[in-house]
Amino acid sequence: MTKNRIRWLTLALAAVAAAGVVVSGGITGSPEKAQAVIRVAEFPADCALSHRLPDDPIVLPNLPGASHSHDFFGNHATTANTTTHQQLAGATGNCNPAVDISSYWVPTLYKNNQPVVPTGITFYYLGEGVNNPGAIRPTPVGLKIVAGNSKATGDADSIARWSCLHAGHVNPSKNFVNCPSGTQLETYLDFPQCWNGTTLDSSDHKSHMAYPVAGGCPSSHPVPVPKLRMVLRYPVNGDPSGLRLSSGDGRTMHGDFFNVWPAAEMERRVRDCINPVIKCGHDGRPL
Amino acid sequence: MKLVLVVLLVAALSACGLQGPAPAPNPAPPPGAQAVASNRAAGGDADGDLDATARAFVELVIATDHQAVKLLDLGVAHATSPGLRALAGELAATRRAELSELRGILDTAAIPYVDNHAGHDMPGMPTEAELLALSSAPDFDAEFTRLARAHLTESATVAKSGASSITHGEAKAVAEAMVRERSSALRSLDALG
Repeated sequence: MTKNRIRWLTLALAAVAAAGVVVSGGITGSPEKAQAVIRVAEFPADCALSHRLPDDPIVLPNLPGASHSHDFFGNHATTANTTTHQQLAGATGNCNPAVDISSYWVPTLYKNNQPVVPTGITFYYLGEGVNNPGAIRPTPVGLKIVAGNSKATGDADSIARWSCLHAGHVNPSKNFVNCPSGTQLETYLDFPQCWNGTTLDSSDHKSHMAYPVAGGCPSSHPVPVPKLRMVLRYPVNGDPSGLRLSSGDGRTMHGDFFNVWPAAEMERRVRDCINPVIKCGHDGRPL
Repeated sequence: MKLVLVVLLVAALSACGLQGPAPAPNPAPPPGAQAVASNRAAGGDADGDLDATARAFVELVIATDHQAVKLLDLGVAHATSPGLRALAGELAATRRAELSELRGILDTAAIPYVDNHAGHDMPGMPTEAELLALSSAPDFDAEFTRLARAHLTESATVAKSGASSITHGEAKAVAEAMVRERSSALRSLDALG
């Protein structure tokens, strides 16, 4: 093969790759409109701590007082006994937008054995993770998703991520990090986004969902739904040795999501924000 | 070299051309899949006679009792008060009997035991850190009594939840027996001062 041919092929590959970016970005609407929007498939919900209970309606259903301590965000009615979405549908929550009455919960964080209230609680619904955001379907009402590994014993079996807000020079870690004075500890958790299309839960609470493989949902879990990314900020910094979660060290961070978005609200956001790759605000309208 | 480039080119072309998540068959969900799924929401998966609540209860109590046995054995070995030693011995024996009953329930249902709570701060479960601290506590009897009381009180709450929610006969019977035993053990502990 000549040098020229290699150069030509390289150029062709680059052009193809560039075209792929544009196409997978999803061109919709008129050119003027396309320029006005932010080309990120996203809509958010910002919530607050609602209540704290030793309950877990997914892992320990109908067994109040049987769980490690959880911080519940969103729906005010969630307890060990609210095992169906119908039981949560009539309640209110504390998220922005208020129509999101989903329930989200995580293990309680303690500093020197005192519980810490997270002050920033954001749930991003994203189109990333799959090559074709146009194929993403609305998350079905009542879907339960668990992310993270509450039994993690090391870095290898953990997907937790801890970092510092306003201190990007501190390397993220799977365990707690030492954040400089004036900054906050933050944690990210990405939920699996490929659904088996048939069951809203499974006996291990995990196997009805899967993570994408090479930009696509596996044939066992063929239905892509928006990727849920939880970002929590805690008003603590400094030496992390006094920190623990009710499930253990930072690597055991996990999150539970019980979808109670009204179907029409979820469908609208997937249609208007996720599928066409447009960044939306809390109201589900393009920013 | 040439082959590699051709493969890359083909891969890139198909990735942008198809717009699909993968070239392999990727069936779209049938229309109405969501409605069907929503109607199945209640209860979660059943595992034979042992439903999600009963199974979670059995697994939790096994995990709790394992840790409780460690605590109680320490009490038998190190408590100064003869009354406390004797109570620790009784409770340890009860926990071991409970463990074999609970294991039997899982065996009958052909469910392998999985410890879902190792390292967690579970109600009624003495943690490894607490057990370690107990071994070097200046007043062993006082610290042992505190941990035993926490185990009994919190485990009683779990048992009451199980007794009222579980429908599986054998698991419900264990939960009811636990409620009685925890309550009587707490009275004995209080009587020892």
